[in-house]
Amino acid sequence: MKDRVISLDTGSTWTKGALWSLDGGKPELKSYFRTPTTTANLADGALSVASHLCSVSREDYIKNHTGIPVFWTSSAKGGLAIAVVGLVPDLSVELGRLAAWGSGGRITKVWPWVLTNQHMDEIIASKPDIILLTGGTDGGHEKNVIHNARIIGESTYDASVIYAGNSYIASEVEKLLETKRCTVVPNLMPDLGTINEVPCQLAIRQEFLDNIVEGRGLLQLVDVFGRKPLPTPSAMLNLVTTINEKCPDFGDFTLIDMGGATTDVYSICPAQSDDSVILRGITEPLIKRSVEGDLGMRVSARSLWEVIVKSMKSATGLPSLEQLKEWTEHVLENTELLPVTHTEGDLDRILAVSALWHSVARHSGRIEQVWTSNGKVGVQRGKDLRKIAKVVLTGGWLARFSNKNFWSQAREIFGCFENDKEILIPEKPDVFTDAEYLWPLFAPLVGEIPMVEQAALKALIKR
Amino acid sequence: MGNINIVLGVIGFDCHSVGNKILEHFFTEKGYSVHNLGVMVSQEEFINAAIETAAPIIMVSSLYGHGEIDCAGLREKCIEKGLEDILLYVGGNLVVGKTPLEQVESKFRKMGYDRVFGPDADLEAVDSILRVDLKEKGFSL
Ligand code: B12
Repeated sequence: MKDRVISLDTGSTWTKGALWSLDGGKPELKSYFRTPTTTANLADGALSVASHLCSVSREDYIKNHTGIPVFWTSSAKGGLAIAVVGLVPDLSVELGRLAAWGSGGRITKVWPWVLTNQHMDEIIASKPDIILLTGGTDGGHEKNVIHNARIIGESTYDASVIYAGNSYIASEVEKLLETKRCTVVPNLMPDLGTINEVPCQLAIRQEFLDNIVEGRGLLQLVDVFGRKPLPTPSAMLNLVTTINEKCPDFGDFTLIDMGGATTDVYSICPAQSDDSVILRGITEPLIKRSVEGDLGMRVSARSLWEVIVKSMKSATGLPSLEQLKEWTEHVLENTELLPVTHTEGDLDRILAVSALWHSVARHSGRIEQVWTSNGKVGVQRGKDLRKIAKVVLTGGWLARFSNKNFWSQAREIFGCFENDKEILIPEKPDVFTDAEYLWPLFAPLVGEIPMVEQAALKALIKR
Repeated sequence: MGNINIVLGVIGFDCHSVGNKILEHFFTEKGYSVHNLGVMVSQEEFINAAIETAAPIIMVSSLYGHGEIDCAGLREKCIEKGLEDILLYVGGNLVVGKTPLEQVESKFRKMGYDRVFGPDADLEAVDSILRVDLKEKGFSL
């Protein structure tokens, strides 16, 4: 029965699944089901979703495979945990961070320059699945990179290492990491400031598939579904990439995926939109993903509140900070809580607007106007999102409650300047909402069935 | 000799880009790997680039007359970052007005620059000097 498929996502607050029919070529939603994620054994929740979608009992589902293919994703353990070790913070380290995020990872620790055993202990304590070791252009720096490889090699660290630094010393590094599971890929920064992220990202994903799918019932799911999962954000990246490739009319866009614990931002646009400014530092990639671990609606509500307090420019028409503080403490204790009263709705909206704004602001670059003896010159660092005309909002909360004033309200509260620097955030975007929260369920289908990208765009509602 | 990296750029808030392009082209033709940071480059950016590329030399240009202020302190910062052995060359219109090159040279030497060139520097001669300096630092050309 290849005219039907199931997609399923587990690991976050809810385990959700959808049954699609493929009669008209494009995937069409037949039914949707979700259940709270069973963190102790992910298979529990996932199998009840799958069996529910097939209208059979769990036992029957497990015993007699229904023949409906299941494409699935997992963000178990909060996703793929990556520690980045590099050389210069603004160069190889920054590229390492971008590559880790861009392959669906969550960064546990970042270390520049020279590792000591003590730093290494801190990295081990942060429990990464992968250490991404970078540093040096091809034919460039060797000393510290070799030193760092040796420290990692001699440590008790027992997960995997991906080496994406100076390729001239790759065999030496590989030798130092002999006792670890080490993958060598082409340099992330073959030339100064340029990023070559694809081989590194493929290696990270492969590592996820080969070694990280274990525990908490995931292996049982691999067995029943007959297929390994993708990391949830890496499937989302696939969706974003295929929209960019196959739907050029949609144009450049920013996607914000806001959850209880983190907010992910994806931008699809060239690094620079204004040729008259001078671009400094690294040239960021066309498709960029960033993850903010302190901006989220529930688990991260307290850190979000702290960010809000520090950055508010205007407070007209807003509930008081005390009220907001009380609400954040309340939702922290009841992470599945949804607002009931009007006031609660307002409070939650402020949290969402704030997480939205700050996550995009951190993702965006800055332009500083510098007075030279020849007049003003703009100096840009990071990525310029100002000309992006479309913002897509997804995630449980944004899907349900966002409205069209979101963007302007955020702009009013926080403003577009950080000291004297302009934040290169989308200027006047149209806001589209994934109102039925289907994008995480379109994402696993990319590359498996045709026209997923069209269906995903069709599911958006312009607010 | 493709393995000798040169970090090149115009320091400070200086936008003069023509000479910079010529230098990039010239030294690339001579077989070096030139990492050109372009115009308006800060001291930190020069140093970061030299670290990642392991360049034995930084070539600093200053054309607009503020060279003295912009170039001061680069040597100290290099030492701070473990680049005590790096060669620092500087050239262009390093000071305002018509100061004799010898005076300019001694000023910039005191600031820790190994070689100082004026706007009329003969680039072939610069390359010969560079080869000698690199050899002295133990690089085989
Ligand atoms: C074109 C020009 C501009 C253009 C630049 C456009 C651009 N994108 O490059 C514009 C109009 C923007 C401009 C602006 C300014 N300029 Co202007 N400009 C010139 C001009 C006419 C030519 C520069 C040029 O391209 N030369 C050709 C290249 C090939 O030569 P070069 O830059 O000198 O580089 C060579 C050598 O110096 C040497 N070299 C350079 N660096 C190094 C480093 C090393 C290690 C080595 C070995 C060699 C080396 O090799 C290079 C290649 O051969 C010069 C005058 C002149 N004739 O030089 C003034 C000149 C450089 N400018 C000057 C000034 C004062 C300015 C301004 C401050 C003010 C103004 N009102 O014009 C602003 C500064 C803006 C800023 N923030 O940088 C003065 C500098 C005075 C001083 N230093 O004492 C000059 C000398 C004019 C003058 N006589 O007053 N300028």
